[in-house]
Amino acid sequence: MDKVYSYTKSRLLYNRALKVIPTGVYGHLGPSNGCAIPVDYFPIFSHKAKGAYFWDADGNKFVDYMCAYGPNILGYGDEDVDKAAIAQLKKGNCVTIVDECLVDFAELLTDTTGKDWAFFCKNGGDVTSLAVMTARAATGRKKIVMVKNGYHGVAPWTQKLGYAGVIEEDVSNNLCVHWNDVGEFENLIAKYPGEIAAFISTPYYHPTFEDNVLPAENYWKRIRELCTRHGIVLVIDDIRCGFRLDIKGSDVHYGVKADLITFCKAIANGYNVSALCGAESLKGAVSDVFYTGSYWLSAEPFAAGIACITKMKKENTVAKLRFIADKLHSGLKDVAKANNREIIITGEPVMWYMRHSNDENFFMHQAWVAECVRRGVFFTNHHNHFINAAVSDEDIAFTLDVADKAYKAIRDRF
Amino acid sequence: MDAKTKASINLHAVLRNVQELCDIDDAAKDVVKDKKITVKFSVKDCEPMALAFDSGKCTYLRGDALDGGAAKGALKLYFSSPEKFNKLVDGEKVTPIPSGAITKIGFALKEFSVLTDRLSHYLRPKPEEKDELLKDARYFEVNTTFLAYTAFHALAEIGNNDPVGREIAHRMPDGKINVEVKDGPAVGIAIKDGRMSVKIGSYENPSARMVFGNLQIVNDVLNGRTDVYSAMGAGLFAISGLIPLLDNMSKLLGSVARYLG
Repeated sequence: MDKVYSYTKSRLLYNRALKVIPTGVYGHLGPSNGCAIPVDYFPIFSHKAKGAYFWDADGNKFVDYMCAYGPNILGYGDEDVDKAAIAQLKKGNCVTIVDECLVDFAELLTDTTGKDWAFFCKNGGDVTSLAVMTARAATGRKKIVMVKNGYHGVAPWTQKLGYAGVIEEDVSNNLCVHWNDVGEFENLIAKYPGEIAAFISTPYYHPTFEDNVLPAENYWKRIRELCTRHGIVLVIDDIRCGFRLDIKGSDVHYGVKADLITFCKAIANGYNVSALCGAESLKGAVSDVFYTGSYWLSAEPFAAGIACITKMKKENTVAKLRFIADKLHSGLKDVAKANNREIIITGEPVMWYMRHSNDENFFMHQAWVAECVRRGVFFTNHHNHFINAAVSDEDIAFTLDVADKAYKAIRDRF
Repeated sequence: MDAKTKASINLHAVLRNVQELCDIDDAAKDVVKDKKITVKFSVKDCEPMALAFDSGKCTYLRGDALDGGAAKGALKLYFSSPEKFNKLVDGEKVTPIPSGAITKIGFALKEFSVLTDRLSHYLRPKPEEKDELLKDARYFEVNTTFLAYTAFHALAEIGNNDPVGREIAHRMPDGKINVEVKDGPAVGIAIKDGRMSVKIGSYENPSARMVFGNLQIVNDVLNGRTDVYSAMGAGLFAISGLIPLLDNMSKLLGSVARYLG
């Protein structure tokens, strides 16, 4: 039987939310920025989550391929991580002086990633901004080179002129290059000699609404050489990819060593902590930057991070994720083909982006995703997806069945 | 606020509404019913436009339509700066430099003033009359339709002229957007190589769509009574297609109130 969900309670909650919260639910988890198209096919409020699933306020169960946009890597409510976090919470969390587990976490993280130090904050944007400040402090230079359509958070410097609240001065030292174009970076170095503090980029190109693109052969090697030769700090923004491609960090995955690397999302399986890790040569510069926050040194997320990284290492989560992702993608392609469609999957398999061929404006893809969602498989139509280690063979079989039903549901429209 | 952009909006988003005004407003129809005259507005640094009146109809002309000789024999009104033209639209006394069919200057002084007064009646009703007027369903429909036509034509002028607007427009992929009201009016917005154009009516194969449930929602959004993100979340309008087009368009739409407010 082809049953579809309804979202009565989510809607009622959303109407309450609109009165007291800007846009009801702001940011990427909200229906607007989250591209809920059409909006009434998507749940808005979660009730509970466990393993590969969440249940919404109406009790509908979803196999979740967004993983809270990345943090869920071991499965929601992983017992080992939660146990460590709860034990730490009972012992002490937000205290006047910091808990000893700070040192344990920093040692584990530097040992895992091969970096020399770790500086902890809360969100990805905290550490991308710290990376830029550190690069400027170290070099005495202003300009930052970034990749066009790259995402490094929501601080004013990461946004674009014309976005609400962003002024020209916020972005006047940003320079952009196209992904995989080393020549453009060389040109900027020639145009602004001695002025570029940092090159910041995600390990591969994963914008929204576009096919994702892996680095070209020798791309990172050549970027590394240029940065070294011209005294430019190489920052790899590993917020989204970190621990999914390589437990040591995505710079290692692509055969290069970053001067600074940022982590968040999967670092603690959903507990709120981020980290900037770096080379010894930048330890003095980052130490000089005045940077702190009320909850940045809370101990509970550190304990969760220790448990999460320890478990990912022990269970070789990276390999497991890849195995699950490959199986899912193979099945999705087969189901699409059986329905006379072609699904295009790009990017790293564990963080795949998907669309359909012959659908350049996404109308059909948006309809298909929506039909999947209201049958219990949570995809998005605009963003890369994420795999977590709790996805089972049964979940994949369910997903493929839903994907098939969704194709049939849109057959008459597209 | 950029004076050139504001003048372009006044020309190509506000005054252009005279075309539709002559179709729907009895007083306007009466004024133009026997007239055969073209009035060309030229403002320094801005793209000119003309309004051609013939047999009770008004046609708005710009670009190729204007260059093709349609404005031949027109009464031409030249403004030596965008600021001066903007002052005129804001109600201050400004004298343009007339040329061409200057024997018809009386039309600009008399009949055209009636048309702009009627346009103001719909677009900018007097505060003391506004609430009462909006209770009338027909007035509400015309007011909202003109507001929408003005806003979406204005956003294209912002995208083509305003320094920040141009940056936004150049980030937009090529494509066509339909902004529609269910069982109501529609505008089509095209973008190519960072240049925007607008037409009344929708495109057959748009790249993206924004569909409002009814005119009241359009009125609420354009008057700032609800923001677009809340309205979308609440399901008051639906979007689909190439979302980066709509995302950037809404950023331009956010600048419209600054220019028209």
